[in-house]
Amino acid sequence: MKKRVLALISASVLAASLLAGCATTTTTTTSSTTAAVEEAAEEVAEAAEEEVAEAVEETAEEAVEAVASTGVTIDFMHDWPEYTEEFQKMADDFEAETGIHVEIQIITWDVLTKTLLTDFASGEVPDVACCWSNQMGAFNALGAVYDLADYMDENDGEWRNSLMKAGLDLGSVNGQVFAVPYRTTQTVIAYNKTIFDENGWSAPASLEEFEAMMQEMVDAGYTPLIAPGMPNGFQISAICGTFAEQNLMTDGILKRADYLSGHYTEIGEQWAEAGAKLRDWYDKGYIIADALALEREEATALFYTQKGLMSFVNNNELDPIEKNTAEAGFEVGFFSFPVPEGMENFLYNFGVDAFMVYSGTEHPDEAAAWLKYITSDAVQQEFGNSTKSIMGNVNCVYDDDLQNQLADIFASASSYRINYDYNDGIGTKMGDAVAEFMADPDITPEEFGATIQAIREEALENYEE
Amino acid sequence: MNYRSKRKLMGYVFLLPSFFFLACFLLYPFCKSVVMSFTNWNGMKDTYKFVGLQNYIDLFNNKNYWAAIKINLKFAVISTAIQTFLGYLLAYAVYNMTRRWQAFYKVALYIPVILPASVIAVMWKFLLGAQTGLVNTVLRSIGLGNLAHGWVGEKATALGTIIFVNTWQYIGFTMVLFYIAMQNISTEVLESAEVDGANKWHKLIYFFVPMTVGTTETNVILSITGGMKSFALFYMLTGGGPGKTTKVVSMLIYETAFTEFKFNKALAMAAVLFVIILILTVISRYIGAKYNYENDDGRGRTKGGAR
Amino acid sequence: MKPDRKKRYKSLPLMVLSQIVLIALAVLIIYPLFFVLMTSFKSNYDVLVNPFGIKTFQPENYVQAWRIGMIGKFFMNSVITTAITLAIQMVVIVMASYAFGKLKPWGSPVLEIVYMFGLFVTSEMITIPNFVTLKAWGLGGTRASLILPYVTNGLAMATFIMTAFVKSLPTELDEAAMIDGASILDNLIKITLPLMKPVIATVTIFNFQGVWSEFYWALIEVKKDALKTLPLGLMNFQSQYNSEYGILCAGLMIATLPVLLLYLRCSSYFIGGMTAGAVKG
Repeated sequence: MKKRVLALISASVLAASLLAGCATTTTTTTSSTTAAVEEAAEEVAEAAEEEVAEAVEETAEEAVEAVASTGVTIDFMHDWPEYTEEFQKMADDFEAETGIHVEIQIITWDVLTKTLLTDFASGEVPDVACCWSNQMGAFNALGAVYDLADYMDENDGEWRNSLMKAGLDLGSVNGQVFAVPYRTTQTVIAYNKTIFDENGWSAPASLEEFEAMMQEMVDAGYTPLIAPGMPNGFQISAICGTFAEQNLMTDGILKRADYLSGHYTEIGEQWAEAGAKLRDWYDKGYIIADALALEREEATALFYTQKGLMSFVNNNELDPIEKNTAEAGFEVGFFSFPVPEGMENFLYNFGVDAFMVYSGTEHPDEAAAWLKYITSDAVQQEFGNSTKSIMGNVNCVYDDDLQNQLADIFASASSYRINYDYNDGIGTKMGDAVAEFMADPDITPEEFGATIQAIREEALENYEE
Repeated sequence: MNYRSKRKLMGYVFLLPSFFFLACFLLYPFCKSVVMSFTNWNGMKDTYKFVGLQNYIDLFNNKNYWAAIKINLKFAVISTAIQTFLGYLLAYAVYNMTRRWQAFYKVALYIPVILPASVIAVMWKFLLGAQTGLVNTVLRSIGLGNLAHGWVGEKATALGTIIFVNTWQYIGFTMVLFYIAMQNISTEVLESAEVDGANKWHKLIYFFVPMTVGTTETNVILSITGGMKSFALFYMLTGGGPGKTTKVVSMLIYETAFTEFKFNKALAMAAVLFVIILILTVISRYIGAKYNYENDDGRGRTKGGAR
Repeated sequence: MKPDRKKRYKSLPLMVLSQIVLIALAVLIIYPLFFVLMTSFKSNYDVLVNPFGIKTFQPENYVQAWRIGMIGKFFMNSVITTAITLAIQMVVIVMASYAFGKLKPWGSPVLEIVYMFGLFVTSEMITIPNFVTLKAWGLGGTRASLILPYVTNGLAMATFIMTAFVKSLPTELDEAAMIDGASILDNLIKITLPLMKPVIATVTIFNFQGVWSEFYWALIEVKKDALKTLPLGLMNFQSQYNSEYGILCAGLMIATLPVLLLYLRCSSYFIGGMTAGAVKG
């Protein structure tokens, strides 16, 4: 009898260790394995000799069931052809650990929304797909996304706490978590540190400092800010939006719940002021002439050839910018667009590249497991270091100083980006309005403000129909 | 069954293979889309209700849509005019050259037609850049700096720039079609004309043009339909900007479907566009048929109008 | 057949002028291609900062393009898909244009317009239903799911052009053949087809380019590397924030080369036209 009990216990322990594997990343299998082991132990303690054989069988069955998670295939779509190898490695490692096979499909970022919508319409959607967090309101309205809040709350919110709050908030609607932030995609300002140092300038801490500094630059004969305006207003429209949000913050509107869900639309005044300020900057020469016709590549080229001192860039351009400025022969630094003195620091249009789970997925557990894996400390750390991206996991410490600098900014600042709970499409229209306003000096700021308000009101009306 | 009828029946047999493809992958989707345009389909599979003509009524009140149609019409008409005239002249010029030059020009002028859209996007992006583009750089270096514009970023020049690039891309195609048509003109007629004292211009106006009306009609229809549907160039070069000056209907449809997620409205837009293009084509065919001496209309006329 | 050279009495200045204009045009048209070629040898920094000159020389861009773009793997796929599509198209389209041009079944004018529908519809009307249809037929993600829509896409324009051409061909040869008792098929193959060579060549090139460089449909249909076509490989050089233009252009050159070669090969067919002796009086 002793031998049989010993055999049973060792069999259970072996089965448990086989399945536990990396317990930190696959909580579902761990918990079911722990449960199986507990049950087996109880039964062994209580069972008489005749029931031992039965207990062994039952444990074996449960072990087989827990193992049934292996052999599952989930479809995964991402839009980074340049990171094909990195993701393939992640998938291979994940499969080795959990037995779940991840089938990868790659698309390009410019057809992301189109592809997702085509997939939704035809009913053939990957289990896990890349997305932009700010679309979650609209996708949820379509009924296309899966709520991950339960997974987030497991183990005292272990997963939730590892991710950056601003990013997670962006992908959540009314407490339901739809998009998991993978990495940030945020506009920052790159500046020519070499010339700055020569002239005693440094990254401004407030909007007022920024303007004063740019006036000095203009007086000294430099072009301060390069901002591409193509397409649809692009960074020019972003500057206008930043001013508008700062105005809205001053007027106490920015944090209102109805504003943040896109249901408060009396913003014409703040946008009119913002438009006037933008024109002011343009007239004073703070922004490069012909900005409306500039494309991103041209803008960066102008920065490298030192025709302008600062340029709007995305944080994911860190790697090429460091390489190219080294080749161009000057040092580069980054700062985020400053807010007026005394205002809480927040970022305009904070964005994250995220991943969502399809509402109709047949394998939600496995999909969540995969997501947890790719947002885990080790995986994110490695990805961040090799690609110079700023990841969604807040526990990452990077090799590159500039990267850490930016990571700190993103972690500490807030974001009040509107997460429309109805269909988007407003961004393009508003960008066009800004471009029109800037191109035509006959349009007054008041008219411009009214146009913006009308766009928002119309969108809301269409939704409420 | 008499011979004529047998031939007509065989006509159907010959059409069958292509009709299979057409029916499955063009006509069926087309019908499905038209049906969906009468619903409130939001883009998720199998979730829609019929709403009758609501989408179309909204469409008639949609200022943006009709503004876009205007832009398309402008683009289509101007492009077609330029391409038809220029293409014809080019074809005639090449026709009159020595063999070696002919070979060279046929290849050279046709190259843009076979370049993929991505190549064209890269090229023209760099050429047309406001600050660093080659066009502006060259203009500035030869002292015509004030002619330098933000080609794709300025209201006044955006549409014109796209027309230019479009012409650049397809002129070779138009030219080749005309050239082939010219090749088919019987040389005896031309020689007898020459004997009667006709020079190149006379031949062009009184012989070549009338005898290639069919090809002209073909080119015109292709240009117009292409122009009304044009998407790629606009998307790559201007993104519909600046403001709305180059927002063509195809871009509006794309945005309505993929940024506003309103598939039903987008399909309604596409359906109306379809009807507009259809009408334009039918008109072109009708005009073409009236002036066409080329085809055998069953009364025993041979080519060139000689009886 | 060209007009007799000896009888040209053009004024010299006009000839020279027209030659200059044509050369300018040719340069204008070839330059962009030359631009891509030049860019394909430059480093990325060089491309951005010095777009129209050339300061670096990196033929290894081509090696990179081959490797990252998986061109070796995807080239054959593109070739096979394109070849099959074109083969089907040619047969199907020639038959259709012969039907419209010579056989003229009842209801021809209306049918011709129906065949032109492809010229009037936008991709939004077609993509999703086709996606669903192919899935329903169990062909999702297969080579057939590429070929079938590709064939259909090329039908409208090609049939239109060829029909117009066939209609413009003289009927005397057909009438003679009919009197001699030739069957319809014989007529098509022996008499009409040889005359159609120039348009077939033109349409082939055009459709080849359409299939060879088609990107979006291939992107959403094909998920297995084993079936991916060249344009899908090229996307590996393009990212949202850092396109490697040098390597991209190298990749584009490699991808465009077959089309150019095919064109050069087929351009001899553009010298078409009838043999003078066949039609007299």
